[in-house]
Amino acid sequence: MHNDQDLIIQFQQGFQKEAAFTLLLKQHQQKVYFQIKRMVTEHADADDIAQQVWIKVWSKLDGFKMESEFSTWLFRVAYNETLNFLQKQKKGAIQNITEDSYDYENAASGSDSPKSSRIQIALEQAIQQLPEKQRFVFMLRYFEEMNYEKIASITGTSVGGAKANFHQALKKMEEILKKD
Amino acid sequence: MDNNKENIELINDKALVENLFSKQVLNNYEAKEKKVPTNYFEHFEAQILSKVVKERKAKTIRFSIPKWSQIAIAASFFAMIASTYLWIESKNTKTAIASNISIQDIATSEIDAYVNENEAMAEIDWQTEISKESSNLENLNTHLIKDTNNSQ
Repeated sequence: MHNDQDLIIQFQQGFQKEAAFTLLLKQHQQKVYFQIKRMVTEHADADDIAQQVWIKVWSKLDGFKMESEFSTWLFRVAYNETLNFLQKQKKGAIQNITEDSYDYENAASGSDSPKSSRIQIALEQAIQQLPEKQRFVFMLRYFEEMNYEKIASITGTSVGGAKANFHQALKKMEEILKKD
Repeated sequence: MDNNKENIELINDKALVENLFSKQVLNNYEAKEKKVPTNYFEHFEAQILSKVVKERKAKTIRFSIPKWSQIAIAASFFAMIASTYLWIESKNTKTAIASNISIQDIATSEIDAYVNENEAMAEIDWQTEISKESSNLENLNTHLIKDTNNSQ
């Protein structure tokens, strides 16, 4: 595991720029990709956005002042690119997931009861019905286990705002679940 | 202490989600989202690197062309400004010299010389004109005398 700061200094000094960038990419690409994928669901879309994110990182890294952690800055770039994509594509709209279209093979467990399958579908529907910012905050908090301070920096809000986003998301999902 | 508080807060937040949906359902969801094509990340890395290298080359080309043209444009612009400035400056100097000299500043001898020179020129002109006219008159007289003789 290489230190992000050392790699960034190496990149900014122009000494083995590509090698430093490759190591940064290796260390962070999966987390960034998965966060984007949770937002857009389609692999092809997530791949496009992730590419844009890393190309942006390449072109802007020289100006990165290390006032925040690299991963915070990286997720912020990913957040902006994802929001731009969703606004352009209007894919934030609810996708109609029915039991027929649900890909049971892709689910981790094949021995789920019908009840848990229903909950599975409800979870996906609920997540997709969340406003983009709340969805992003929810994913970072639950799946990435990020602290609120970092989430606030990524989404450009206050710590209180980030907390509120998470709890609003939870409340909204509960309401959706009750409706079903 | 703060870290501990943060951890407790995270555990509580996660518990709220897991009460709503089961942990298994959430794990299934995550497993589904994390499914990627085989060797996707290895290919992704290579793809990004080739793109940034291409961009880097393109940037170098883009950068070198405007740099030269910028220098050329700057040089010609400077030359144009400089020549315009010199032309205006020389014109102003001549006008300034002419307007700054008053008649009192010129020596009397210089004025006399100028007047004499011009008078001489004028005299020459007049003499030429008079001699021309007189020769014409002489010619006219000669013709008239000849015509009169012929008619007689």
